[in-house]
Amino acid sequence: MEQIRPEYLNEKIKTVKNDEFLKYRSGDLPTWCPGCGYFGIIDAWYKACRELELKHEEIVTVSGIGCSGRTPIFLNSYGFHTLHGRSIPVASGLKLAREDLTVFSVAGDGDALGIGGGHLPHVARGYAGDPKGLTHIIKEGILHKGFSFIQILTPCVTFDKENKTWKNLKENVHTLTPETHENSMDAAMRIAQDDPYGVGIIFQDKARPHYQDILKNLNKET
Amino acid sequence: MFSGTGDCPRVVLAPTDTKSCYEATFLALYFAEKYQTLVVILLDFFLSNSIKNIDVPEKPDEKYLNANIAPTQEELKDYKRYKITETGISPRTIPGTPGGVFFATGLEHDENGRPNYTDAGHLAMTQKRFNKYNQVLTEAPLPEIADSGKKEYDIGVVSWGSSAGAAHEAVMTAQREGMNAASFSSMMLSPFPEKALAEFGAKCKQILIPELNFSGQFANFASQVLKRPVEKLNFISSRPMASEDILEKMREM
Repeated sequence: MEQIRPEYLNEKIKTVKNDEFLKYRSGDLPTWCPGCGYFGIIDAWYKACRELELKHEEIVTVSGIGCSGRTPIFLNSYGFHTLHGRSIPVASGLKLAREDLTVFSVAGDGDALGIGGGHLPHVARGYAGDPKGLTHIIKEGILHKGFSFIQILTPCVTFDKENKTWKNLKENVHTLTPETHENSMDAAMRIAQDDPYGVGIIFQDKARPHYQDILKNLNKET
Repeated sequence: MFSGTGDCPRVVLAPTDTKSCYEATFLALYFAEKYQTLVVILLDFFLSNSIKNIDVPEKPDEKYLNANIAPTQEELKDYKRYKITETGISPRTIPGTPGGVFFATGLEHDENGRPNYTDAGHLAMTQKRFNKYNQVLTEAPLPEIADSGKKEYDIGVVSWGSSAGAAHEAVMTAQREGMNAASFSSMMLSPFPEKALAEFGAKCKQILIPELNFSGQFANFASQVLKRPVEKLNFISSRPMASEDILEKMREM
């Protein structure tokens, strides 16, 4: 077996420390299978938070049940492991009470899509195998005022050996052109339905007032 | 009180009238925030639909409105969200607090909030939850006891929820009729003031428990506390319990 040179390890540890990765990462080792796409996703999450210089104590990650539900354990943020499929209501309640926090709701197919996504004013799709593109999308999602929904394509290396595998995803995933379809709900809907492998920001409505603003005005009037 | 998975103690409050609904609501919030636990307010259809004029209740004391126990600066240096303390209550940070980051999960966890299913860990956390659950009784509303100051009674009526008012009235009427009776009702169902009920029961020759269900759910619980059989009066006739109903039963006893 080839021996790992200590200098190489030291160099790596230095890079990781300089990257301030550890600030957003908890000490726990992920329970995901080797080769799981979630490693790419939290990697992009660390990067997005670091690049936006978010304080880790001002982030809350809410999850449901499943492999995705474990996500907050591995992040050094306030975490809430809620009921199956109920991470979005908890996250929206939290955001309503505390506008200053950055709130993430993490959910897998069964957890979130199984009960439907509701009205999604800002939709994007990313790919776990493209950390750079995914970091960009997560950052845009955080910066968007209001609710942002990010669908991330990631294989399940244990249970799906045929359909959405790394190989198939690599072949099919492509960046959308143009990347953003602002205010064109029709075009966005077409892409979301007809082009399941196109990644990028599919729809963003910057003009629409977000729920918290509406609520504030309502409170003013009464 | 009993339904649920595993050993998960919860606080249950059953208000008896409109005014105690108000009291139960702020107490429930207080217990939930301070003890970080599930609190159930148990109402029935009759009580939730009854309309009554009452004086505007006094605003609850500040201690009820802001009950979270936050960690000290010293504790934040090595913060353990689910620390095992004497009272069973672990100081809780609010998101945004530096040094207080934690992960909350429904899975069994260790003092740091990380999933931990070891037998020692599960036992320690279960003991901690029951410890704080028992503490609730130290500041719970006391049972309402109406007696005539005697040492012994022929009939003791033990009631809860919306039938408590009728039970109390029945006992008052019975006393005027010359019966030797006393009344006991508790808004606090879980944890239950077992000592107070046992003391009350010791003074009564017979115990009557009127309630609006078929199987006598509370009566079954109370007879365990009293360690003796009780007389039941059960109604599922889709109308609330009236004092005459209870009085009639008392005359038969």
